[in-house]
Amino acid sequence: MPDAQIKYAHSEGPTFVAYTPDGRYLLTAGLNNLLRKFTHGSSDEPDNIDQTHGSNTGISATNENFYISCEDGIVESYSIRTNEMDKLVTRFSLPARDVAVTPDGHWVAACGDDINVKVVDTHDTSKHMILRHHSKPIKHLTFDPIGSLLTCSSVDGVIYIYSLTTESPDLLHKVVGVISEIDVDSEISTRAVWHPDGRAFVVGQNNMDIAVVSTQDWGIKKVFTGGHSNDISALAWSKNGGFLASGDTKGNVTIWESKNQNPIVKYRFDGAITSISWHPTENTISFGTNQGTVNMQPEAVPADHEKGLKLPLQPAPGFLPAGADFVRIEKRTEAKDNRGKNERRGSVDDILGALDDDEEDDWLEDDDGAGYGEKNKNGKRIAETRSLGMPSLKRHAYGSWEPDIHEPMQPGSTPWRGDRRYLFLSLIGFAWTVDQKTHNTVTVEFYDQEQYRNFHFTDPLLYDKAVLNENGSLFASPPGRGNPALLFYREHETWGVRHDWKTRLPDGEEVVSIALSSSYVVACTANGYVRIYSLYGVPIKVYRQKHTPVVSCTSWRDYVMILGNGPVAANGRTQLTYSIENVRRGEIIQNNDVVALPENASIKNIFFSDDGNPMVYASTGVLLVLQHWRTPGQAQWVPILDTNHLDRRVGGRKEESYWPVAVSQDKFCCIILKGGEKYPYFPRPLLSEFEFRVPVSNPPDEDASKNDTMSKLEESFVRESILVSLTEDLVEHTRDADNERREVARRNISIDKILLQMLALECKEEEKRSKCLEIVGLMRQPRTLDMAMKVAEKYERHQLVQKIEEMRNQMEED
Amino acid sequence: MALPHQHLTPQEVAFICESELITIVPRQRLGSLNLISIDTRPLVPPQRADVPLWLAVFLRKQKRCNVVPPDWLTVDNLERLVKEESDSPAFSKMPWRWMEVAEILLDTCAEDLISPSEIALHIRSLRELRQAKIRASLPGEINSSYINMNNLGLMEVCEVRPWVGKVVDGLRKIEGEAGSAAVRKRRKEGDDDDEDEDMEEDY
Repeated sequence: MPDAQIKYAHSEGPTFVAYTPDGRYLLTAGLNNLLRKFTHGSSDEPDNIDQTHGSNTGISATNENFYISCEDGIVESYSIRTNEMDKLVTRFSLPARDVAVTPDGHWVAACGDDINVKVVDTHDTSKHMILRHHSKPIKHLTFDPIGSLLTCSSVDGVIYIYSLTTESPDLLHKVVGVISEIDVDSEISTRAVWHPDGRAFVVGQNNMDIAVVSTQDWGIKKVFTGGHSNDISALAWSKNGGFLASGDTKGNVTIWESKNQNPIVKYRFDGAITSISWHPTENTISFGTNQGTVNMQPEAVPADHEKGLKLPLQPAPGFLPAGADFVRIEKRTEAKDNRGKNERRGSVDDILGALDDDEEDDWLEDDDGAGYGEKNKNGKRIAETRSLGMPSLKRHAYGSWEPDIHEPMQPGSTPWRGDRRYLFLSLIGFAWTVDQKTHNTVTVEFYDQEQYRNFHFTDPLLYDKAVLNENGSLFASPPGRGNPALLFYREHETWGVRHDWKTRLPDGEEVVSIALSSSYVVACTANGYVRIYSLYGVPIKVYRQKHTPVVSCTSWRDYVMILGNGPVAANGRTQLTYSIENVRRGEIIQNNDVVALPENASIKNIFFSDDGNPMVYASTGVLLVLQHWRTPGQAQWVPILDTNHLDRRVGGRKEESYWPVAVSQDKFCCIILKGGEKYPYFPRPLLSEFEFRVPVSNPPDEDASKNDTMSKLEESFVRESILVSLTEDLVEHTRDADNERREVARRNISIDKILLQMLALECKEEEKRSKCLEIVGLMRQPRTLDMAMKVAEKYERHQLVQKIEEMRNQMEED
Repeated sequence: MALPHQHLTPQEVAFICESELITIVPRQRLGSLNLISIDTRPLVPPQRADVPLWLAVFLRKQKRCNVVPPDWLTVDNLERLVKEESDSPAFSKMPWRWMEVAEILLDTCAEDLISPSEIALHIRSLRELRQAKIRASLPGEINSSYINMNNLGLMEVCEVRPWVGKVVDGLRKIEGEAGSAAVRKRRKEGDDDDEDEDMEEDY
């Protein structure tokens, strides 16, 4: 690779560099009173901008202006177009140490030995906010890629995170114990450098490692380790977040690959690295040193990794690319809305100026509107860059259209949050995994401590899916680290020999969803295969799922239910389809039928209830049961509970959602999530149970007097009729079902009881004669008709009595 | 108890109360039990089930289940009831066996309740308030035929019954035959709204 070009830009002392977001110019600042503006790709002498003072401490640039902080406490703005000072932004009585500008160029934040941090409006410097929640001077400032969070690294070893979305800035969080205490004029950097996707930032630690701090829990998510033997003095992400450049106090530079935190190349320069800036579009990095030099390293990322620079936005280390982090997406959408209101700057292509001056500023690479100066005013450009920032959940590629698909889902699992996630939650027990950096630890706990024994193991294979049932537990690991994907089945402890087995999937095949029943193990893979094994690991069959990509699967006894993405519907979204198969008999019972979801809804969980009915919980909060699913073509999705109609929600007081766990004994078991949470977290929340309630009418009113007894009876009638039909189906298809038979009889009696009550209510009104007769017609037993006659007699409806008698005689003849 | 008296003793009341159903969260499996009063459904952790109170207490003592406290037995609700009780002259609406259930639960499974000490305190103040109210209302209410005290619990009824019975009986004797006939007449005409707490003693 070519050697770095060394420019002796400034006199000996810390030098700060920054590329403009469009990549046209490199701006540098240093100890002497001259700022320099290099035109990228040109070998001409740089333009010089005279300053009245020297000793610059920070630089931050937009496409039009750049901002300089210096030791005499002044923060100034310079125009790139005219190479002249634009205005004085603010002034401190003590040295200023850093300056940062939001990606939209609207606000500039500056800090210094004076404890307060000032955030100044660039259009009107009289408008400013002062942040005072910290007690020691702030050494470094950075804005997140949206410009709504400001991270301030204080000299007392605390990172203060301020939220600027509100009128008066709020202290969002204090990150303690990640960075060390340093002097205000130390060469060591504790700057928090945001990853371009905005979900994490990196900071140098005092053990020469670089920690990735997540915005979810403000904990350390990953560590870039072993690259430096001196303190970190500068950090910068590549534009797409795929690479990280770090420099230390002895002039060593390491380029890391962010997805696996491995160093890929190292450089060595003279003097300490004081600032790093990646060119937004080309494979060039510029380094400022404390010798006053600027080193431009062309082809900084070696050729074998260079294509990584061309990729779209990469996820921050330790984060999933897609769908995993809804909180952030919402935030972004919100920010997008807010941003729309902000005044956007006009033309960006200032074509002038020779600047020098210093201090790369990390938001630069993170900048949303970066890269293409001419298009900066163009709304489309902005939308595109932003959509890159969003994990693919809602991605519509620019120019080509792709349908919106249902994302794969493992029933009962939650995404990573911090360093842990639930692999599986059910009524049997729960399995969770903890990320220990090099490996995971998996813990399985059961509700029934008497019957099963809890277990715990270290997991070098990073299992990411699990299912538990009465007999055993099944785990699946993704391919990686040279291993193929693996299925691991482990029987629960028994009095006999405990049995477990592992099986490898063919190379490169990735498991999307697994299921475990009392007789089969099912694995759906990313290339559309459905693999079915016996409980002892014998492969039974392999076939290709007709509708791919596969979404999820679940199983019960001999039945396997698989969900896939079907044809595209009118709203540009694929239809969710399901197939149910009896593996033992090799019969397909329901073939690629549709899961009846409303538009834009998705499924939160899918499972079989304890008596074997397929249940789907939709994101709209409705629990659906598949009625008559054992008869081909007859299956029907019936809403059996709408959680928006729950008694506890009446009056709209409670802001909560329900995370479905199971359906058992005709009750819906769920975890109540409060305050906008999307997934259960630790410690394990309690399970709540709700009775079914078919949405026949509006939910009961808060004021009990307004409630209509009739609508309550009607609801019970519909609900009981559904439940009895489910039980009847079960009786018909299972051999030994005495309990269920009794259940059917019991339910039939209760239906008749409800109908009698309805009849009594209707009989009170003279004109509802035909409705009364209709209700009688729904009754199932002659005995009830006798009782119905008595009810009618009581209300002196003699004609009705006669007709009921006829019906009864008819029923007895049949 | 085979003692020759006509009223339930507190012990008997507490015993009867043990057949009340209560919700538990079992911690281990148990098949269906065919009891005289009820066939329990199989217990499968962590699914809630309704069992008689005595069984719940029995399982709780062996740490085989957790009791789900009834809705009304929470600090918030009791606080509200105490306030209502002290503000209004009528008795506030309590479950029929509130005292016994609260007593048994506080006694055997205090750990399953949220802040049991506060609950105990509120139960105690409720009890004292209501006792005071009973005492205060008697001079005005009592007559030879009936007294009207709605919303009393079983235990409270049994407490006042023996001596109220005697007092009413005495009054009746004083009023004599004529008075008694008038009472009978009035009873026939009067409606019978107050079933539970109607303390009429006419033997």
